[in-house]
Amino acid sequence: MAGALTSSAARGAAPFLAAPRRGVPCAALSTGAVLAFAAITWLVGWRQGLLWLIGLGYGVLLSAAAFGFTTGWRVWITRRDPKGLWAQFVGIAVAMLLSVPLLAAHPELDGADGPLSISLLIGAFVFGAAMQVADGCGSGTLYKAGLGHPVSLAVLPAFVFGSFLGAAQLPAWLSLGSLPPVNLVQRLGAGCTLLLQLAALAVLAALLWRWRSTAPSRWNGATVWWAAIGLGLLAAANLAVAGQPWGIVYGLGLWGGKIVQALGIDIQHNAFWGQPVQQAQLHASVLADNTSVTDLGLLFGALIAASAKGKACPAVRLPLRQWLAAVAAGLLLGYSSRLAFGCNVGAYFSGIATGSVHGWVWFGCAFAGSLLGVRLRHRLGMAD
Amino acid sequence: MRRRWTGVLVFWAAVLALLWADWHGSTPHDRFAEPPPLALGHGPAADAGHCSLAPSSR
Repeated sequence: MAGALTSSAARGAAPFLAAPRRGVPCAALSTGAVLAFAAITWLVGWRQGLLWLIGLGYGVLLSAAAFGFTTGWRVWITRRDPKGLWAQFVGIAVAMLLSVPLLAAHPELDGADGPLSISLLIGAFVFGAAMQVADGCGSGTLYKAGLGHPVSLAVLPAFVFGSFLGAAQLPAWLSLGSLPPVNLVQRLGAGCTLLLQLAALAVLAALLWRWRSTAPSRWNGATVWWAAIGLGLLAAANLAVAGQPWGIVYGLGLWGGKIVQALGIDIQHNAFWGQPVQQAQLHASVLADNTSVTDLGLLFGALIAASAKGKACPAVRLPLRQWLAAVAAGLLLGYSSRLAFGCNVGAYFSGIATGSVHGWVWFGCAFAGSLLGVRLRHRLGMAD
Repeated sequence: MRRRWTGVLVFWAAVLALLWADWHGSTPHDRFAEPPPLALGHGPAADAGHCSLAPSSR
């Protein structure tokens, strides 16, 4: 499907390639982004305003470089093209080099420390499979929805509802068995954590190089490397500003909870949403929630970058079966990411970058799931 | 071109409408209890949620 989407996107983007048409929406959107920064800062404070800017940066980089976790894994599985995975490792390494010393020196900051649970194994595996069918992970779905990709716009509401539902049932899943979170920074210290994790990433990168194909990569030029470095820097800034790493799906679940609550459904007695801290979040504005603000910024930043490149709102033609499969996969993405204590961002990128062992477990299980997901794509007639 | 932008315009109109409704339906924001601009040195907000957090960890 990605290939079909890419080609149809390129065809659909052709009318935007004329500079005057492309410049006007980009300038208007950039002005809107500045106004939104001023409004958020005025309404809820500097911290949220800064997080909006960080979110914008995520969206611009992801969209401008077509930086996809899902595609990076898939092109390795199908074509042995390692550049996408290498770029992910670079982003994680940059974030790690800044975040681990910060976490070691500032105990008031939190890593992405998820428990080592049965739900993590199942959730990450299902997420890895579903992200290949939906052709987008947490960040991928958000940035493509932001730039107006019709499939991701359809997947996003399902993702939101799935995240809400997954969080609501998370306590029941945890009762299947769970070990406490393990953070390497706390166990080994900053130096050993950096050494161990950078060595692990280097070994993986070397293995990818060993088994690489000689065919041209999907990503041309240095843009994807700059995007990876930029994402790593922004993730470290996220930690310093919010006190917690970059995450995505908590915010989506919160949006779902607010919508469900607004529809008159009582979730006060739910084992997750009924907790005092969650009730406080549900009754506060979403603009007060760190993850929601960066998610909104990511959505808007992606639109700005895509409109600047003339790639906003691609035209897509898919059979109904593929639309339905993508939306069902979106529901699974949301649900499974809450079981797995994060998606490719909250668990894989931020988990590993902040020394959480659950990030590595998530990576292994989700990659195994992606092997299945790529096969499912082929069964559904979706292109690579 | 216009038809293609319709989807994204509807999406952002819905986002803005939901944000407006959410702001007016939520507990009024206490401007005197805003956290400092950086969590560095101060810590995250007491009710900050994250996808990696176990349900009872905060």
